[in-house]
Amino acid sequence: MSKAGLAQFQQVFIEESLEGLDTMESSLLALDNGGDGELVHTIFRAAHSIKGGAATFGFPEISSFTHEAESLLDEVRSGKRAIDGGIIELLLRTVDCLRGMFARAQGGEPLNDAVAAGLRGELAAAMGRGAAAGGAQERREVDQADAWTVRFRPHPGMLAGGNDPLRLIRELGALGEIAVTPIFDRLPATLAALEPTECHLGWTIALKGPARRADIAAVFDWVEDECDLAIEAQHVVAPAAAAAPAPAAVADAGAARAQREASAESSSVRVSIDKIDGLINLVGELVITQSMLDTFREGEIDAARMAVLEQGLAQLARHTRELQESVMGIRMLPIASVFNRFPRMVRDISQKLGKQVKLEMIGEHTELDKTVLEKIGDPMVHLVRNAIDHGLETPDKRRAAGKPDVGTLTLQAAHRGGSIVVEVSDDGAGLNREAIVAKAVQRGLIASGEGLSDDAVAELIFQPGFSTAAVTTDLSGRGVGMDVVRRNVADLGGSVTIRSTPGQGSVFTITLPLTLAIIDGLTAAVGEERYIVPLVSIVESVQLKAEAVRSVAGGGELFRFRGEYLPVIRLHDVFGCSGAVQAIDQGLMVVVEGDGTRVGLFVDGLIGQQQAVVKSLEANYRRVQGISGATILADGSVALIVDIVGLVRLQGRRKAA
Amino acid sequence: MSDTQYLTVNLAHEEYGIDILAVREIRGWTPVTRIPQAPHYVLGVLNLRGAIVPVIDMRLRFGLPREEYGPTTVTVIITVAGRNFGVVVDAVSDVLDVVADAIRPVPDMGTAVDTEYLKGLTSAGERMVLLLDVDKLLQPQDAQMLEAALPAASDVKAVA
Repeated sequence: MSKAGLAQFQQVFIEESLEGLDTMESSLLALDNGGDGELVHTIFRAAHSIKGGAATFGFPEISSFTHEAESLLDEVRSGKRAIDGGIIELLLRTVDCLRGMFARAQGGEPLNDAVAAGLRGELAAAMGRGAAAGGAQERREVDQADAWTVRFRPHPGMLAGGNDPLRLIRELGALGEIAVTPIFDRLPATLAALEPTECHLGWTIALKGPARRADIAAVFDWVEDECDLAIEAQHVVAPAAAAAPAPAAVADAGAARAQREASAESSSVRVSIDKIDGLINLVGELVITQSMLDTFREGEIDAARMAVLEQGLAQLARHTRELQESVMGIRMLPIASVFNRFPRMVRDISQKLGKQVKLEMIGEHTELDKTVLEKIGDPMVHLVRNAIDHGLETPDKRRAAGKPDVGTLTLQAAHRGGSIVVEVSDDGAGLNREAIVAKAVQRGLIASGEGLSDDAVAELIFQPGFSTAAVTTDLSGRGVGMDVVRRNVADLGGSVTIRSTPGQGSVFTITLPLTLAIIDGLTAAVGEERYIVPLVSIVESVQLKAEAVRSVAGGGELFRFRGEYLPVIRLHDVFGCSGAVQAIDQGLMVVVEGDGTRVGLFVDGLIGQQQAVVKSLEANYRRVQGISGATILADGSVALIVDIVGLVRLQGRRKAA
Repeated sequence: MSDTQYLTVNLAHEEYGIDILAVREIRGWTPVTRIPQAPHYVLGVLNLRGAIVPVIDMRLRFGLPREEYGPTTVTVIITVAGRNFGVVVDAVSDVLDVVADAIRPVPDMGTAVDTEYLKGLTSAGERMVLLLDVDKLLQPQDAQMLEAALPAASDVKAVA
């Protein structure tokens, strides 16, 4: 196969393998919580596919590494070995290590590193092969040699599987110079006893030339269950090359993983056949409606035909809407793919902190837009870490508070109206009001905690650089937390709120739009121009009297709205529109909320509500401050969508300048 | 050596050639939607079958006085490096076959357009045609402006 052709399949293989690793991980975790024996088979199958695929697609290092894990799993599967916490821990680390290897495979870096080498030793040691790590060391050294002896004895039934031993030997010939000696000992004594469909021969192949064990094993990969194979090194090469690059590879592992995660964003979507069939159906309906409407091109349209025409147009409208919903549905994926990373994380963190945590997940099948899904992961990781690190207490503290030893962390997702609501809740200590107030006073955010409602105190933790953790751990407490969470969620057009009861725990609620591709908006007129204001950010709109707006020193304007003073952003000013209404009492003040701040947006008037399909300005032009995208109006012209959060920040900067 | 075809357009009584492979389509002038904080020569954006495409006034780009848009005013949609943009010119006139040998270097002289944006000049009968370098039309300032939306690493590419 050509190099380019192979690369194409390699990518698919890597994607599939990463899914396989996810399966292995979740099954291992389930096994740890007392799952049944079927899980072992699931894990074994996943490992086996990875091993087989890796050899075929040119990753012998991954293949041979997985082989070690597979051998261990095989013993567990056949009941030779009882599974225990140690083995699960070891296999989980194997999964991590394989992820690292795949990440390096994508980056084209050397696959083996010190971690992989160490783990191989541990896997071998776990199987009792070479009781000390030294045994494994020796095995690894024979990975590369100048000459090999391969004893290849096909089982009698191998030919029935369509495998040609001669082809395999020829393939081996590609690795170096070969000398083949047949083994006749299984040959029947008489011709009558010879079954022509069976393989009676064996071969001893002497291979000369530098080759790696994994390369040789790869040749026989498809038939390994159907033959007896022995590969022996005759002349060993010092494995200097293998040892040297290890430290660098370790350092790169983090970067490579980050790179893999970044690239994962743009990868493909898997769509169920049902969804596609539904789409084809809808398009069919649409074509029928269109041909029905086509008959109106000719002839007079009288009252009777007019009724049919109206009916047809109504049908067209319905089909178009259904088609739009279905197409959007393709981008919708269950949130389970984000939730699934948490069981492992919770396990690791709680072990590290000596806490006992039970993770409950509700509503994993809630679907949301792929773009939103990819970006919701990091904020959730933050929240889960915080909940375990700050929220949940250690078992003895919990006992003292009269709570069960094991803390509960709940992840919950649900549709609510046009939004997705994701909750991360714990039954821990809740927010520590005193500590937060003290910290806020120390940082000069507030003068004192008196008179502040609990909600106002909770808001404080969203301030940049805010952390109450007395000791900075590697998990949290570096003060880059909640403000980043809030900003990431705000970038997706959502919001984060917190509800906390002392002694009973906290609930973080993330509210997100279902999709980023379509927004509901109000069309606002500013001079000759039209702008779309996202409906979610609009609080209300009011017509003010001229004297309601006060100018303050420095050029800003303020108005009073429900007991608060809000700054005024004149849209025509920011966007430089001409011919716009200047007098406050002639126009309309739209109160909008973005980034937790309310401002008044002054426009000429509001024209109407419409759904806007968001188009990127950046695809052909560039990002414009205060504009989040563009949409196409019913008349085919372009209208720009106002980015409320960006506008609020823009205003903040103007004030500062 | 094979010929290259050029679309010739009129701009302030001079004739310019645009490599026809970069031309995506020619459309009559239609009003565009102004975008805030844009350079003066970026008129705005238009809807090109669902894609949002910026439109540049060639006269303003080259520092020429702006003229009233008339019936012959057209927007030529050009694709450079996978991005589309429209340029407004006074009129389109012709398609020319130009042999590579017939392209002369641009002498440093007083053409209306900065020679930086010219690839060369050629003649078609009695007429002189200035060949525009479409890759540079958006460069260097404009490309940087475009790349500003992208990560810093790509800035290097834009300058090179």
